[in-house]
Amino acid sequence: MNSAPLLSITIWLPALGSLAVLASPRENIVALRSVSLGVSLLALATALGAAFLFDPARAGFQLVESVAWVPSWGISYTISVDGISLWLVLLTAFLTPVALVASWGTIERQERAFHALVLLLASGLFGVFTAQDMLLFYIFFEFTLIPTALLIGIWGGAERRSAAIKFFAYTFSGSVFLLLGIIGLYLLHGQSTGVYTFDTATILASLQLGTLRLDAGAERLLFGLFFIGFAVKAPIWPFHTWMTTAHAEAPSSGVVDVIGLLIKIGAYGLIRYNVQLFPATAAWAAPAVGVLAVIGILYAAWIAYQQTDMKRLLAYASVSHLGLIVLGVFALNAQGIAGAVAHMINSALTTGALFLVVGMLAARRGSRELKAFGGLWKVTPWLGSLTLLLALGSIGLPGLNGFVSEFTVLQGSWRSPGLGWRYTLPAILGVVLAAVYLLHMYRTAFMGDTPPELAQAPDVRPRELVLLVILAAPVVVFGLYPNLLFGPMQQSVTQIAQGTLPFLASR
Amino acid sequence: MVPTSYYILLSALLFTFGVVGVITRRNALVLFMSVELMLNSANLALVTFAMARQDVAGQIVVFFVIVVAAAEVAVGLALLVAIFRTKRTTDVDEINALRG
Amino acid sequence: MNWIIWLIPAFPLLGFLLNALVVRRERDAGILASVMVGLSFAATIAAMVSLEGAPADAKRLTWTLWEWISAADFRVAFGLLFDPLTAVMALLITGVGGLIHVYSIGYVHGDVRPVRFFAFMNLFVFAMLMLVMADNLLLLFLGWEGVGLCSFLLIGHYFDRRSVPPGINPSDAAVKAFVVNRIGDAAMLAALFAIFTNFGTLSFYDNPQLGISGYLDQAFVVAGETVDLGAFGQLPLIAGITLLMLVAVAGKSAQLPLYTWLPDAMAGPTPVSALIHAATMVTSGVYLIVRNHTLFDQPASAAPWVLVIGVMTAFIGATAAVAQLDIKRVLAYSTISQLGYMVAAVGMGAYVAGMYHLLTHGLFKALLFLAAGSVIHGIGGHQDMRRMGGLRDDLPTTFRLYLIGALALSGIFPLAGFWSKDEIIAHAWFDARSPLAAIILILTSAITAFYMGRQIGMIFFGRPRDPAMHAHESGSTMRWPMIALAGGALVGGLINFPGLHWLNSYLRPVLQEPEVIYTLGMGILATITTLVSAGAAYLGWKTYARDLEPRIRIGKDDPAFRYLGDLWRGMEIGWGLDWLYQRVFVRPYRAASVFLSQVVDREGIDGVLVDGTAHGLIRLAQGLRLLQTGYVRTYALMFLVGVIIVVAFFALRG
Repeated sequence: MNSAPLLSITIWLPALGSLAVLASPRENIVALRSVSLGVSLLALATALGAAFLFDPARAGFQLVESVAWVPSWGISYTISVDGISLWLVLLTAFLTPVALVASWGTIERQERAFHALVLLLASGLFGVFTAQDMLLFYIFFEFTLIPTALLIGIWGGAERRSAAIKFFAYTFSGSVFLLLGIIGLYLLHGQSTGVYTFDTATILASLQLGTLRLDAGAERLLFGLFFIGFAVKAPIWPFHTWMTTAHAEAPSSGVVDVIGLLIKIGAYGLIRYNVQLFPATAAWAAPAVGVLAVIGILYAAWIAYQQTDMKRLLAYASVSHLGLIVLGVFALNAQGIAGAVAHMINSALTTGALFLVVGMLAARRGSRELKAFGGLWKVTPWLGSLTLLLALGSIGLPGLNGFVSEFTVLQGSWRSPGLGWRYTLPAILGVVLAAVYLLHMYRTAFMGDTPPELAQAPDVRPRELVLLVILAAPVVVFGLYPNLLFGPMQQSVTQIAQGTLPFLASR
Repeated sequence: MVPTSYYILLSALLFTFGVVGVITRRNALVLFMSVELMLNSANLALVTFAMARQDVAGQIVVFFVIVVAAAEVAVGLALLVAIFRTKRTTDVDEINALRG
Repeated sequence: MNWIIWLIPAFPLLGFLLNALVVRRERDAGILASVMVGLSFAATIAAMVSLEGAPADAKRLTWTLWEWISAADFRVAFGLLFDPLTAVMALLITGVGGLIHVYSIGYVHGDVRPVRFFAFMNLFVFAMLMLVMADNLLLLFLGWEGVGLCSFLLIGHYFDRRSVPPGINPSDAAVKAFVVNRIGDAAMLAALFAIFTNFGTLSFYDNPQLGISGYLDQAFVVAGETVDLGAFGQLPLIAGITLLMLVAVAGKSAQLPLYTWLPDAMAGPTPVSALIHAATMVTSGVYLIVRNHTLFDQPASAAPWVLVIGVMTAFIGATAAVAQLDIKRVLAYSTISQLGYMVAAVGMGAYVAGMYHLLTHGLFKALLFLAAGSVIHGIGGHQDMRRMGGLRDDLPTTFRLYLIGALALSGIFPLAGFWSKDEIIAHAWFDARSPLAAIILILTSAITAFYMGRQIGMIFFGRPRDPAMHAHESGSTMRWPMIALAGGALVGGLINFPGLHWLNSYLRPVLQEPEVIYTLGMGILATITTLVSAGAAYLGWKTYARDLEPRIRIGKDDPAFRYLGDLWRGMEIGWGLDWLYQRVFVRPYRAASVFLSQVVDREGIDGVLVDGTAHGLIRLAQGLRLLQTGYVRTYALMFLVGVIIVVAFFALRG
């Protein structure tokens, strides 16, 4: 046990910050920007503190903070991190200030409410990644929907209303299944062991010790319920359409980064619950999920190629990356899962940074249409070079972060008894297609002729430069020294993979 | 003695008239009258059984029912008057503002 | 002293970073870049000296920088290797590279974005060195993709121009190069996964320091294993791996069917073509096969396919080169053809011969490109050979240098190309027992000589066909590198001279290849080849300098078109492979993308599934709405029905 409840502070600090922001006067923009940025940086500090206290040599949940909430029903406020969620927490803590700074100057109205909502969303995300109690997880899971829907619906693009409603309704209906699964697991566990609890660690222990035995049918049902909830959130093809709309209509600033984090919840849930709790069914379902994942990779990459709206293009790129992540998760071996988690981080960084670039381009031209741009590498050389670096990171050029995680996922998938080379070869094709659509975007916007409206476009301003460099730095560092990523998660991933091993070997 | 069944039959008959009245009639006052008819048929049944079983309890319940009926009529007529003031009609079919 | 080897790539990397971030002036950029490559060259020499001290059975220097990836049991080091094979490649890269850097100082003077140019040139040298110095396949892949990236950056140097001679859009050419290379890279990735899955390691050789074992010495372990392809039968594992590598080589080394990017790559500045698309990047495929020769030596490997691809590419490339009208495109197709020779050589197991030709070709092809650049620079920037003619008077030095390069390429005794090319042909005839391959290669040699003769004739002989042209010789920074390379082309044969076998002995620790014993038969074959080539060269020269020369007109077809018609047209368009790809792949892909986006995604998934569900729910709600009539009487009726049901339920149950 640690002395200070760092994780709780990290979770609740942004929420308190949002209250503080709401309390501050509407007109003083500088004050509320400072408050929100300050709060998010504090949260980053506490998250880093938690990271320092984390011991990578031990598997399992660490930094546990537990307070009984409704003891008679087995609901407790239990939060913790393990190797997998640690990086996700850090990523959230890192991207929130970036998103806030990126939004300065792009919000025309009700900036106070905007900052408050972003902070609330950050709180929700922290909660999701650290919640150990299943019901608490669900509460935070759903809690993130509200700020997101409001952010899209109020400050979004032209189709924001319908995009927000679609987002909310779609993901909400998916998570109803998740709730059913959680309650079902709770009841089954209680009936078998006599202990009615929502705590993941306890249930996991019962499953591993054998005190809770699920027959194949029950396990598959539970797996399916959890799966639907996470598959919609992830999103796995064909449940992706809410995401492309939401991303395309989300406000043109760093909020898209944070929304990008939202989708990692789905993949995280798949690892934490589907694979960790139900390894037998996961092994059984792996081929089918693998097919969906590969389709997602290729389909999204294919569509991205001819998108004229840059944000939509990047949204499909996200879907493609997520397909790769899901493929890694369902490779069910240490490499695949480690690669998947690493790719969650890496794609959030590269795609998020590219969304920021699109925002910068849109600010200069007033349009997100690809055809409105051209030859910008000459007019804005620094922006051009940084964008190229980020695009190459997303494409997976060796030496940059995307390659390492992609490679690890594909290697894991190749070696997986459940998947194998038949799944991996088409997925590798996705690597080629990624180059096609991203280079197409780069070539159209940054090479070729320059439209007259952009001939005087300014190169990166200081704030933009800082943001891009902050995001580009990990792209390079993680590419050359990926053990920073893999190190902390090693033990946790190995433990999960060992859980699936007996079921894979029999195939 | 008049057989109990006759009383019950009468009660059922009155109840049926009341139900038919509620379903069929359009005038709100007639509607209330039909509801009263239904309530009173229930009273009749209660008194009959009270006599047949020599149990006073049934007659006590009748008092409860009468009170409820009176209250209900008071409230209902008040509502009707209020509605009449705006709608100038007692036709129940005209009061469909809560149509879905 | 092992740490010296990381200096070799470190200098160009430093040059890149300085040029990219700090340097502002063109002069500083050029000198910095050239000095860095020069220092790299010096470090290479020092490393070679150090290498002599290593024991003969483990003749390599290794230096691990850090552990790159460590995910579960997947461990790869960021480590460098320096053995004789690496040494010869590094010499070529830094030596020829350095000369080209110096040449570029003069060439890009006054051109756009010179600092960026030199930065990317240095980055390229760094990436290429990483490729040849990697001690494991993954780091090699980093260099492999890195050179592809630099190719993109440098081909796209004129990205703001819509068209450069002969009518290529540089941005499109750059993207095309990257994407076609990527296809090869995807195959390479698959090969990597297969190797790791089956051997447990990606390191070439054992690394006791890190506890990693190497796979090259274990190639025989998987000899019997096969891959189940379902309906297609069983494929030997080794064949699968080597086949995937072959696809990768086809992409990077511009072999059939992935060579279409190379002719368009000529949109980049000429030094780029010389360095990347002649001497170094395109040879990385050959290096890959030579490094992995234990895999290709296995009986079930795809080596025969390598030979077939190499021979076919050599022939097709040469035929296409004959009909080109742009000075650089001739050389581009020529490179494709010569790479075919190298690939054919390693496909036959003649690794030393392949490396030999790689080195000599690097010398004389670079020379040819630089000399071509000298011509282009001297006449004001255009590249159309129809507009040239009679330039040997105005550009005497360039002419002589070009002639040396052309003679070397044609394989005329005693220049470098003769020795290396004929060693390959001899190998085909005698050792590999593929007389067909040998004959095709001899024929290709003749065609090669023909098109070089044609080129010399069209450019330097005859009368000047463009009245507006004023030619001037190049400056000294451009001239001296060419002279150095010409020297190499003249005496390059010494690298593996018959009898001396310097290259063979030097590479013995890596390749263990037996020396070629020169028989009389080989001598006769070589003589025949040379005579045929010489004759073809003369024929080419005479046709275009004398016979058809009067009919060469600016803007009109080559006079040979009149005689050969469609055959000539076919050669001119590279047999339409590019056109085919556009029709079969690019356009359908684009159309399918739009289709998927609008029909499948928007209408199908979004429309039917999502909106459909929403509409369904709405209709259900509207249906249910009908129950809310607003009439009290209806509600009363529903009460009644409900009561009857409940009473009946209880009555019947009881």
